[in-house]
Amino acid sequence: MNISYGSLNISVNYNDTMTLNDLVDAINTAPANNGNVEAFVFQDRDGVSSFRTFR
Amino acid sequence: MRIPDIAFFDTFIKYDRLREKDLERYTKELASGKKILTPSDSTIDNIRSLRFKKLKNDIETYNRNIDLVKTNLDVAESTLGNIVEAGKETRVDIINLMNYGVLDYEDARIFRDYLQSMRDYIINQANISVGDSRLFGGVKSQVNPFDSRGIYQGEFVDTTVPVAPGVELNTTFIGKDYLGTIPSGVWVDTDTDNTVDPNEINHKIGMVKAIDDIIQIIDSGNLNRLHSYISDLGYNNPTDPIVGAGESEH
Repeated sequence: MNISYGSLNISVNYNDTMTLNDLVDAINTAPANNGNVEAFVFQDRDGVSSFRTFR
Repeated sequence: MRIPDIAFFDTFIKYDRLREKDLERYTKELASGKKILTPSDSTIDNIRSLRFKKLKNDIETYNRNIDLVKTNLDVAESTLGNIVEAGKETRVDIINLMNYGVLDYEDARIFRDYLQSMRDYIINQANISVGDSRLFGGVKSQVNPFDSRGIYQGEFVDTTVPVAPGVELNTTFIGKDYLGTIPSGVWVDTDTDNTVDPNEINHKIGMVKAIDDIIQIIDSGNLNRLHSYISDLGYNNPTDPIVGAGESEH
């Protein structure tokens, strides 16, 4: 799976069992990333987890 | 043919009685100044009078309803005004925070408490009542339409009363529509029909959701996350698989 952030392209190995945590780890540790994009799991006050990124 | 005296006498008596009746009526008319003394004197006018009475009752009902609706609309308007003002004030402070970016621990706690009180204030306002009825609960109810999380728990129909023939105005409002709610929380397909039904989604006041997220980010200690991009899907747990979890909306 390729994720594009402007000019930055991050490749993530993806399969059906991938969890939200796995996706965050994969983006943060991708070699092409170099810390430009930080992904994190955001858990809101109602207990719902979602995926967020910022650069 | 001979007519007996007694027959003449009866006729005289009869006409005498009729004249007496007439005399009595004219006396009553003179005394009361009115021509119609009993309903049967004028059937058509009597029916008209009954119609007028009914119209008068209808108009009185409409007047009472107009008073009720006006009070409720006044309260609803001022409540929504209060919420808008609170939102505007909070917005300015949030923009300041995002421009400022860095807060020490104490300042962050103060700002967090301020946001907490603003979101509580907004929810309190949304739960406003007139008499014993919550305005934004949809139907007359003494249960708060919004819980402490800002999620709508009222009804999806509103109550109206007639204020003129064919014109009905609200006495209570569907809070979900009037308070600017957004879907929040995980969708649970309770009736397993694989369709997102209104009662399966949590409707949270949008402003409260935004303020809650900011509070959560301040609590996490990473203020730079205020600038993050949000994804479209929400999950019960970070260890849920991304695909096929049957969860969405957050």
